[in-house]
Amino acid sequence: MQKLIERISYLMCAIAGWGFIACAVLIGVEVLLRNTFGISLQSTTELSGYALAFGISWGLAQTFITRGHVRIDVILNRMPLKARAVLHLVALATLGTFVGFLSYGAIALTQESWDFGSTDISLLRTPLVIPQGLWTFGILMFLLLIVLLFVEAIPLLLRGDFEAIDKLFRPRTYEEEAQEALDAVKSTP
Amino acid sequence: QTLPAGPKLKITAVTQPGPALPQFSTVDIPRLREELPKKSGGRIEVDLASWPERNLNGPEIIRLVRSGNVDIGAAPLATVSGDVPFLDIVDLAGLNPTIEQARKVADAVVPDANKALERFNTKIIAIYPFPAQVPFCRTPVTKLSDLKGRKIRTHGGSLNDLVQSIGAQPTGIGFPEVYGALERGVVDCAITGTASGNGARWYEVTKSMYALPMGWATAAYFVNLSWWNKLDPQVRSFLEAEFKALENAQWDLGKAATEDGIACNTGKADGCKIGKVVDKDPMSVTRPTAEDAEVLRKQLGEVVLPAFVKRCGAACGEQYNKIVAPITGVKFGS
Amino acid sequence: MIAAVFLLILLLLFVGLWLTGANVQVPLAETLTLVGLLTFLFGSGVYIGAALGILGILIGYAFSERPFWTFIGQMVWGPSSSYVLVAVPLFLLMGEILLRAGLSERLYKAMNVWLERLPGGLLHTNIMSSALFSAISGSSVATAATMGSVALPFFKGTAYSPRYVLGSLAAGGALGNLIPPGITFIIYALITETSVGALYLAAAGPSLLVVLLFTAVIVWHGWSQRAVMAGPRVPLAEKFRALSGLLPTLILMLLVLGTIYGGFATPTEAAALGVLGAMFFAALDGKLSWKMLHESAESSARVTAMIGLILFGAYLLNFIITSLGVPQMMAKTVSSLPLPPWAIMLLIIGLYIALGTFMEGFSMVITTLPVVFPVVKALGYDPIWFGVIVTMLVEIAMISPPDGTVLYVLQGMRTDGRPITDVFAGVMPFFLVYIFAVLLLLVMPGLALWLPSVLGR
Ligand code: NA
Ligand code: NA
Repeated sequence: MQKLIERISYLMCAIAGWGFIACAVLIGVEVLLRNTFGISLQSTTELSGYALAFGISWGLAQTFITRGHVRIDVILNRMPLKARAVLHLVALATLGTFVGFLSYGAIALTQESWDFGSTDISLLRTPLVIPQGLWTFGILMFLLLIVLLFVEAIPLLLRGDFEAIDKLFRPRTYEEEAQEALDAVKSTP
Repeated sequence: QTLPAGPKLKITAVTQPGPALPQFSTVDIPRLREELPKKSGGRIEVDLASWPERNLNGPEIIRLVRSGNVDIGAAPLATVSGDVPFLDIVDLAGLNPTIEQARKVADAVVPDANKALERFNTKIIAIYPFPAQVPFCRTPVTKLSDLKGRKIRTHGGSLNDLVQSIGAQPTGIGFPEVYGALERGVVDCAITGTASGNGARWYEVTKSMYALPMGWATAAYFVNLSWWNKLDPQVRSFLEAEFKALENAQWDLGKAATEDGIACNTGKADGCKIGKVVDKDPMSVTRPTAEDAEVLRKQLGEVVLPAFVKRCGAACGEQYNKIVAPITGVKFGS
Repeated sequence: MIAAVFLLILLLLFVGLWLTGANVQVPLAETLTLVGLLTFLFGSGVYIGAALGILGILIGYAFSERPFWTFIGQMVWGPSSSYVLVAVPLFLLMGEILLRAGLSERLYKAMNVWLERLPGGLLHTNIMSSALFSAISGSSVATAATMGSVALPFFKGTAYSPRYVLGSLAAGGALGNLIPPGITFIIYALITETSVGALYLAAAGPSLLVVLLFTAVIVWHGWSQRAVMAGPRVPLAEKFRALSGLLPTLILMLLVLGTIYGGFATPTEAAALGVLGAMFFAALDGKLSWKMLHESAESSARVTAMIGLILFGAYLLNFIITSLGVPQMMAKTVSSLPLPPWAIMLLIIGLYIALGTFMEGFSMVITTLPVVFPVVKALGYDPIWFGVIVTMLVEIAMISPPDGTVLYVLQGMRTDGRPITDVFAGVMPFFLVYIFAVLLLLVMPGLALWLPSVLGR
């Protein structure tokens, strides 16, 4: 399960990134066409905004897996192991609560757009459920990942395996990432 | 009308796209924030803000009112028409050559608009215009065809259809960012009210204005329906009367500010009472020709109306013919 | 944390006034609760986005009579889909492509040959290129993200102190709004009925001052470190040959800057052109491949998501405290204290730095100015001058540890897994000279007002 979700997160993040490349090409073509032939693709402003929303939310989970979300760990790093492990879980719980609220809000927003058939007010009149639905999905995957991590960490806490908890959350060093990349290469047949 | 003593009521309202617009500074602030508490004998207090003060962009105003986070919200109907397409009917681009006609159409449409808004648990309690919506351009424009090939900022809705139909490119940029976009030539023109452009200091970054009213950005004050229905009947009728007066004040302002905005932007101090007179580098203004008024009418029938009916549904076309066509004289589908 | 310190100072002032018999109410419990909450959330290693968001939610449940939770979706959807912010991932993408194609390395090598014997060496390029970038971009986050993604990889494995590398990049980011054009000036002008042109002119002197002060910090650091950083002397001919390494990046900069100044593109559009240009130069070098694009895409998506989560929290908090009227209330409190004008001005400066640590600059300015501005004018200060001060304070807030957005962006782009304290420590000298510049401007308003007065705006 954990491996599967990591795989999905990676894929979603890559798709988000390619969304930005597509966005750059779209805007680039728009600028060129406008300044050379005076024609314009429609609604690039709205569409690239949606690409950003999509990109942010589909990258959230993978960013968490690669320890990309920023926390201030100044005091944390000076704590003894046991306290550190507990604080890791406090941080995870806070994040989970926050993302839970976000998920609730995102679902409600998309639901509202669906119920009322809302569109944007550009020429394309894009139905808002499409970008908002994709955006909500990314946030929900992030929430799922957090919940799974919690499920994984709670038995460790009960067993008193603070080292394992700390390893689960502490920032990865460059060497660790390189090692993981190597492992990944080895494991692919 | 006055209000007998009773329990206090705190109203939260978010109105107008910017704090420097006269609709906000000369109507909403004095009437809602300052006079309403006094007239109500201290019973009513209004927490008033413009959109940017609450970090809002406009299209979400109906949802904001629906959610109960504010009691009253105001926005141009085209801006919120993504949620309720029918609202566009009031101010289709080219529909109303004069502000008098714009008001007739608005008054005629409100009952049907409120039926459409019921699902959103909201209701219009007052409807009002902005000054004539005209293009402000970086380079001279003296006729509609000068706009061909230019990139034009609009506030969305049917104005986009019109702009596209005359061979220009509509683009949507948030109101606060338009100044910078005009400054660097990212857009060639931007359409807004004559006085609104003055309030936003667009005269610093544009040279020419073509005073052809493409619309009036007709807007409305929405209330949360459950909140409204739960009000003490005396309070409700007091507020109804107050908003009727405010509505009249806004229409008077819309009419006065249309000419005032032109005078201010062109540096004519004697006609400039509401806005800020432009002493240095005033803009040039061209009055609309009869041919261009005819072009607007033609595009309305051929492009703007069909596009509106397409996104709103066939029933909207019938409603248009029933309510609006008798006033404007332009029928849909003929 | 600056906010917590400011609240404590305000509290002490209140208590002091109360002891002298003035008629003030001391909001002791609320203030202490808030200070404690801030300290815990920022000290205990909670994720920044979650810390801001949870703070907003707690304040909302405690003080708001409105069902704010029904609007959370819209609060975060707004910034998520903002056209202006699209520039951020695009510039990040450009940086990633340049990096993977080896182009940013060539740029820095070429600059290195020329600058390395100057005390501080390459650190100067961080400030200079950020300043250049600020002249096209009004966004501090975009400036720091772009320059960071280009510069950080180069400094890896060099003798330069990581702290100063990060500090100078953060400081460079904080020029984004101060060096015209910038949205803060436009908003300020609209609310206060001042001229945008005059504000731009007035910003010139202070911009130069801040850049000079940053440069001085680096020179001073360079002198104290010169034994570590001095490289071998390079012959002049080789120096000129190295210039060819500058060419692709220079052309790219010209493309990005030129299209904006020429009115061909918005900053967002220019960023898209930058991405295409970077791909072009990578292809020219034979470095463009699907794999390379894929890696660049994935990497920029991660940094964007990191910034996005912080924005979510910040916008949520922003919505709740503005709908509660907190900024206006604080501004009113500060402005009405029975203190001499200079003390009021110092408190206003403190207020903006404190609010700026967790508020978005745009809404902070628009909500507080209507209250603060009349007071400032009544105290006899010049409106144009104050516009420059406010903009500088908004920028300072972005780089004030421990809660400055620009700092998190830079930390998020590091791959070495080292603590954020490096960033905090590194930005300190720059942060202090930035404040020094504000104080200097307080004593010598002519620094800002001379140019507009000469040019008659
Ligand atoms: Na700038
Ligand atoms: Na800060």
